[in-house]
Amino acid sequence: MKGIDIQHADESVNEVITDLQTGEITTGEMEKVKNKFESSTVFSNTSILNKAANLSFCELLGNPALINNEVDLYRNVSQGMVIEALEKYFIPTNCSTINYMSTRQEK
Amino acid sequence: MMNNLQRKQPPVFPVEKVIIPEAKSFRLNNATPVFMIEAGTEDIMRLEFVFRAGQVKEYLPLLASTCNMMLSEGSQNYSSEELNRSLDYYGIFLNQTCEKDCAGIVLFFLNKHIEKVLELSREILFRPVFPEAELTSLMKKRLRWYLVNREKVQNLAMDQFFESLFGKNHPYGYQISEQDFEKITPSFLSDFHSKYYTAKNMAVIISGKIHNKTAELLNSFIGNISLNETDKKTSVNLIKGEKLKKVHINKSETVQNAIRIGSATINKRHPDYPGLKILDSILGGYFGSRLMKNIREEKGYTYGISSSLSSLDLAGYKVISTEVGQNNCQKAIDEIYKEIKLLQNVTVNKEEMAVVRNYMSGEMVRMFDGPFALAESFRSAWEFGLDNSYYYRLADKIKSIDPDEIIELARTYYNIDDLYEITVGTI
Repeated sequence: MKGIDIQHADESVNEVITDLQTGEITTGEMEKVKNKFESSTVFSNTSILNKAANLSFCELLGNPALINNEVDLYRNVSQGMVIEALEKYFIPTNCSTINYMSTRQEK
Repeated sequence: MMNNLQRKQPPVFPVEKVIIPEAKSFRLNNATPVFMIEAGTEDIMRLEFVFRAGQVKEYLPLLASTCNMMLSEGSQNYSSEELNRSLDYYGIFLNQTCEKDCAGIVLFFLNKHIEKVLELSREILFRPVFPEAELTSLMKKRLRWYLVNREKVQNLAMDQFFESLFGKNHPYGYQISEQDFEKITPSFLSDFHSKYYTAKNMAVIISGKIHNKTAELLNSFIGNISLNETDKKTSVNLIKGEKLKKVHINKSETVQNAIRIGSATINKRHPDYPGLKILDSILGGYFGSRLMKNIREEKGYTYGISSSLSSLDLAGYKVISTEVGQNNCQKAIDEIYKEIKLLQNVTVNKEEMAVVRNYMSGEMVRMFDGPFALAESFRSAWEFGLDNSYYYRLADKIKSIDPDEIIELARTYYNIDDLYEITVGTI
């Protein structure tokens, strides 16, 4: 946004990641994310076009039956698993950032 | 490895007959009409509340759209944050929509959350409080979007196109100015809301694998909302196109010029509409259309060019849209008129008719794929007082239209002297 330093935006994003790493993930938050996942997965199966695409994707992964229990897999994720993933993947040295800046003069 | 991929092509079946599930209708205790379309295999629903509360009703630019956007920014019992957190928690998708004629909300949710959905809907629709702080922040954001959009030639062209077609004084036509963003206040929003977001002005459209207690629950949450008398004094503002047919807006430092050519025309209620839809497809309604073949593929003036035909309550409009390199602007315009004249004078051959018939039949099947598409199609006929018979007429026309009728339609509806021509960029 005009007048907001890109550095500030970058720091704000990192702050959220650090918060996640140092803070606690509440049961409510876990439930919310799982609810959202369930809802978007079920929704993606409402048209025959999407259903066919989802089914072929599962088939490519080697298990067409996955389409029926994907929601359960996510339902079974625990706080511990999320923390484990955080530690494994969210490493600052693994992060690439692209700043895409406007050259237009500010009016 | 490649051999594994060489399968026999499955047989192709042409679209034989489109059968559209009918909506069941009933009324709530307060007489609000409800339409239910039972469809789909998953335990989900789409719930739409639609009001005659679009831009056409506003007496101040931005009023209708801002009112709609502010519905979820705080209610009598919940703050904006609480409302949005609740929706998020239950994985409920909320779309707020404000178009030229209608406005409302659409919710997508898992059936098990229906009571929460109805409770939140009642707050959002009938108990919004339009807090000042949220309004200020929204208007700041909207002004920002506006300024960004007005840098793009295609938006400048479309805004001017609507103004030329429908007039500077009509809500379908007037353009927004920077000052308009300062004029909206909470009291204007409350006033607009109390006039148009009323039970009397509303319809409910439900689709999906409908929860068996839906009717009962709807009645207990929404059925006792009182029937405020809609303000009857608002007279319908007459559409009057601007006199000037050709408008050029100069915009420097742009890569491409935008072109919009078209005019106001009949809408869905007119018997010629299905035929005009087919003509529009031949001209520029699909990837293999005349305009694409000529101006993109042969001449290479543009990446894309299309024409479309739309329906509003008070009029329809057709528009040919493209962005082209500056040096090719006039050449592209000439080719557009040439294509229109061809359709007025030369019969479309059988092969092309077959392609268009197949394309449009396939498109029609997609219009009814799944509970959400069904509800959207139902709504876009219902809005005009039409029912599924409109789609059956369209399907029949696609199958049976005669090439001579295409010529007749092109002569009646594409009179070149009636078309507006808007260009934006550098000439």
